[in-house]
Amino acid sequence: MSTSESVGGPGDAPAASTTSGGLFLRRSSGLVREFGGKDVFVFNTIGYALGLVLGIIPLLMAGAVPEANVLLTVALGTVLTVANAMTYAYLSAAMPRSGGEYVYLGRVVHPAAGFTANWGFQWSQLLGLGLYASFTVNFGIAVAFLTLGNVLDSAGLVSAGENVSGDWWTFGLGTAMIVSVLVVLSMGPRVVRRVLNVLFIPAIIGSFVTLLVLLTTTRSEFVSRFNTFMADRADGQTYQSILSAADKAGYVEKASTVGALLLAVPIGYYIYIGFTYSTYIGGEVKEPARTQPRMIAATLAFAAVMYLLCLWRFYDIVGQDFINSVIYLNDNAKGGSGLPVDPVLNFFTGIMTGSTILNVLMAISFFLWNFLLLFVIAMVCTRNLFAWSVDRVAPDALTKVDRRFHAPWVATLVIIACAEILLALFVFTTIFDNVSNYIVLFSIAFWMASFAAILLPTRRPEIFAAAPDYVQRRVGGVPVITLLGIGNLVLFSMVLYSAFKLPAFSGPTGSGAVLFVIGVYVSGVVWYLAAKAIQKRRGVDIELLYREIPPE
Amino acid sequence: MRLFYASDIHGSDRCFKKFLNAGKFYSADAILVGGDITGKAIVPLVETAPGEVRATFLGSEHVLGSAEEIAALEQRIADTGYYSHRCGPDEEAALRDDPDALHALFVRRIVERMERWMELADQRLSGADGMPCFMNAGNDDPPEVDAVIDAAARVEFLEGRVVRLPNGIEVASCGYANKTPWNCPRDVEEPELARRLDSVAGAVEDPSWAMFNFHCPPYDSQIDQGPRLGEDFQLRQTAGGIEMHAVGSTACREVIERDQPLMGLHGHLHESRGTVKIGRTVCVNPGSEYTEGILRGALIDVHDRKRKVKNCVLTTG
Repeated sequence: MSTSESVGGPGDAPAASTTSGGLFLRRSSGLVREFGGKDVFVFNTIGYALGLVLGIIPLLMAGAVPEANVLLTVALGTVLTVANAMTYAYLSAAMPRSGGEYVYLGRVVHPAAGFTANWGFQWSQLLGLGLYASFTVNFGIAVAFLTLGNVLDSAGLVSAGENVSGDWWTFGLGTAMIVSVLVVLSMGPRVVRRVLNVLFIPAIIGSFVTLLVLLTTTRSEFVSRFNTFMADRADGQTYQSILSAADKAGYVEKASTVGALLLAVPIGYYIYIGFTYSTYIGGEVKEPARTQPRMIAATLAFAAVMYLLCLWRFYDIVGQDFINSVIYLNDNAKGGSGLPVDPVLNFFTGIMTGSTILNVLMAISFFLWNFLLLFVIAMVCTRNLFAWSVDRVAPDALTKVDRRFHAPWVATLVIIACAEILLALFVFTTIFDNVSNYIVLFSIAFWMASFAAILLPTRRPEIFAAAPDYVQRRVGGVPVITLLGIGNLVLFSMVLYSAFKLPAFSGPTGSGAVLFVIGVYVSGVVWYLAAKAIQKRRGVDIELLYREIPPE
Repeated sequence: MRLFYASDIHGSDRCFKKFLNAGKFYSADAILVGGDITGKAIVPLVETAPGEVRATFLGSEHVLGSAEEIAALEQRIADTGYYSHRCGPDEEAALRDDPDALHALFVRRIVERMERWMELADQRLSGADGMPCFMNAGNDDPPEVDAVIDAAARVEFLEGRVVRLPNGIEVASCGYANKTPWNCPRDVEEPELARRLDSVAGAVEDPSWAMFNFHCPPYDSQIDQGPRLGEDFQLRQTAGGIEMHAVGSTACREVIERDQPLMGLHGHLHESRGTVKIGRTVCVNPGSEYTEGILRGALIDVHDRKRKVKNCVLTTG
């Protein structure tokens, strides 16, 4: 009985029946309709957290490569992302199982490579839990209080928005986010799915509201409302005075160059990370050979359209030079720009409309995109711990499941404990200001996955031969999947290069950061070798557990 | 003693060949396949013109013009666990309209492949150092396969019997399962399943030194998670994924809780791979990836002197 069969008839059907798919099917279990295209689309959209990313793009671009043309960056990043999309789609079609690069690298290259890549990815996700918990407070709750305070004319809400970004508030509310994720996860998969199901709807509605607000606002309307907001509740700066102050402080508007564009292109990819998460649930997807490539492409297309439309309108209304000026003042002037929060997109869209309802919808949406991401990350982390435990590279105890709620409580507690420690270090210490390069940490895992695609036809010819015909196609004698793998390798080499060149994009880039990343990945290798030695003493060769049995 | 255990290979030629080689590959003392050994689908290879055959396989249209191409596709189909049938357009249409004829064709193809497998097993497992090989049917398997396996020289058929592994451990087997929505050949109601399980478990001399090879896993054991189905067999899908629930057998759980055998060998739920302890009993479901030709299994080390399970690790071969 399986979730990955094709379509069949009801239980009281004749002994054998037919389908329209060209097959004769007999009465047997597991013949159900599976995770379809629409479901893959929703799953991947949660994965890349549309609303959250939309909010922080102006921040990332202005901080990292202010002179780059944002729309060109996103457009070029989208084109390059196609290589990544198709690499994962092809690998998923050839190996339609759950697990992503852990499975691909483990089967094609070596189990140690699969584990090490997944180990690095896991630590990036644990760090992400702490990071996005703080984002939820600083970019979600704080901005929501401010913009709602503005339209409701509530000094208390505005004041709360200004104060909530403090260390203790961030830690306290971030902890509350993480604990609430723990509570929901501990209530079992059915509750988790219901919670996600319900919360996804207001999240996506709020994103469409954001687009609507951007489509119906002019620059003059925005400037007027911004000046009113600042005059009433901030330090009295105006739109024009911020531009002037930046000019006086030394900000020079530079023309966009090809070099700046190329340097910024990895940000154009970063905004899509998560859109291939359906490959982590590949074993549950109906007709993966057709569904995965189509829906991964559809997710990418939808995201690209939303990003380009929203950003086109946003920069047309607010102005790239204005955002760059705000960031420049925040980074270089003693008093900063005077804005009460970081210049995230949702802060400005909140000011653009005087409608309480629209503000509430956008505020809830932005908060939820952050909050939903915590669930997705926590679930991916749990799945990884389970996989390691089943494969004997982590203790058995991790797979303990509460019988009443069906909740993996040990794995969940381990993940939450790690996330809480990382959140505390992130908020109260400067350790991560110096060592933690989040982008590099997970990009190495995706970079490594390129080799699974490049080497599949030569190292696992039997899997390649059994893959759908389009996966086996060649161009000039070279398998298309190999070419896609090379494209993915180039893309992530660029991402890694930019991540080390642009601290504002990725985090610290000094020797401490390099040693941290090396330490994480080397510790993965050490962990794997230790697990291998321990299992060998018990009489189990863990590498044999992955190796293919020769059929002949 | 080391046992290699697999289940749910569903007609996959490639998986069965791997199974026969698994004993030597993993240095096991015996190999056992639990049930659901027959395929679920036939791919019609329709001769649309002289020398031209058309087929739809894994979502792709194939137009084949040579005997080599046709043979290669037939082998791919067999490796996936399906059967192929060469026919003309008229016969294909007739089969679509005649469930009884189609059923007869299925039985013919299933028996043919099983006979071929048993011949292969006899070849590969023969000789003085031949690996002890055990095989059972599952709820998806039609009764016609029983006699074929029973007649094999090197394979011991298990259904409803108690046999002994090389170190003396008793293995009690039942391939029947509680009712599924598909009303499969060996689906029975829980009371009937309880009767069958009690019957075979009752024939065991020492449950503490026995394995219960029951195809259906115990109810609510975490290795019995199946998709929750809505109307028209539609999966219940939420934003968080497919909604799963426990679909194992309550009768199986009761027998295991009562008799506390050394191990429970299960299958049935392909995506519910794992091991779990019920009291002292280690229950395992190795899962299945037969459509990709990957043999999922479990390598079980039993400590003969201490009379306990030393290791039970899952394999991906």
